Amino acid sequence: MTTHREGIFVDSLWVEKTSLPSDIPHVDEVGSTSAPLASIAFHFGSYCKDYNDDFMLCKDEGRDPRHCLKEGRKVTRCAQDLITRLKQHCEKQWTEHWQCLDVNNQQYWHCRPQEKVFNECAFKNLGIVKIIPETPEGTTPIHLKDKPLFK
Amino acid sequence: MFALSKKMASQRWVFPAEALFPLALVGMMGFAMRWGVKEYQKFENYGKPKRWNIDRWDRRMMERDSRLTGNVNIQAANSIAPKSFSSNSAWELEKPY
Repeated sequence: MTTHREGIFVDSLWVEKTSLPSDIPHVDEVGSTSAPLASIAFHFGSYCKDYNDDFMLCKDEGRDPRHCLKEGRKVTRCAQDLITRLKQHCEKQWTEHWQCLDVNNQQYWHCRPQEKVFNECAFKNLGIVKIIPETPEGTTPIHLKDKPLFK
Repeated sequence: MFALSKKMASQRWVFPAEALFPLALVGMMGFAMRWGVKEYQKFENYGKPKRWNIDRWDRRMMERDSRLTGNVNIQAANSIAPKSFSSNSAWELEKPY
């Protein structure tokens, strides 16, 4: 539903005045922007694996937004729980990693040292290990290689 | 008469470094222009380099960022979004003048 031109003589932005129907339980949205979320992407994947899988399987059944609201609420709450815990234990390391990503076009390969420190802190406090799914058997994952640019 | 043998006057041939001065000059001008463009882009983007190679996912995430914090360049790392996030949008309202 997007127009493909920018607005001319823009007055203001649209604000939605009607709210969701009252029979849907209210859940606050996750308040993180793209760089912090990119930083905790794999940790979120392993911490909230059950809820994520539920939601993805539900979405597989159909693309109707109303069908998967319940699973979506669970995913949102789990993400908020993860962020609260990370801020409690690992705020400094997480902030350094996502600020590095912010400056580097959100590419992971620029920020491996900060990522290593953050992963160690997350493992020590929350027990989360960063696993890249579908890594070929017998090869080191790219974030653990000493010299990723060499064969 | 043609070829004065090198043995006539024994001098070493030294590479003429002054031939490279124009190359260095043009090179420095090029690097300075590139630095100037990068600095201007940082000035426009709140002190960060411009994002490049943005695909549709990144565009949608950046639009969400602007709704959360007001500008695509400002990041926030909170667990709960501000109240205005549940009702704002990035759709521009035009006035037909």
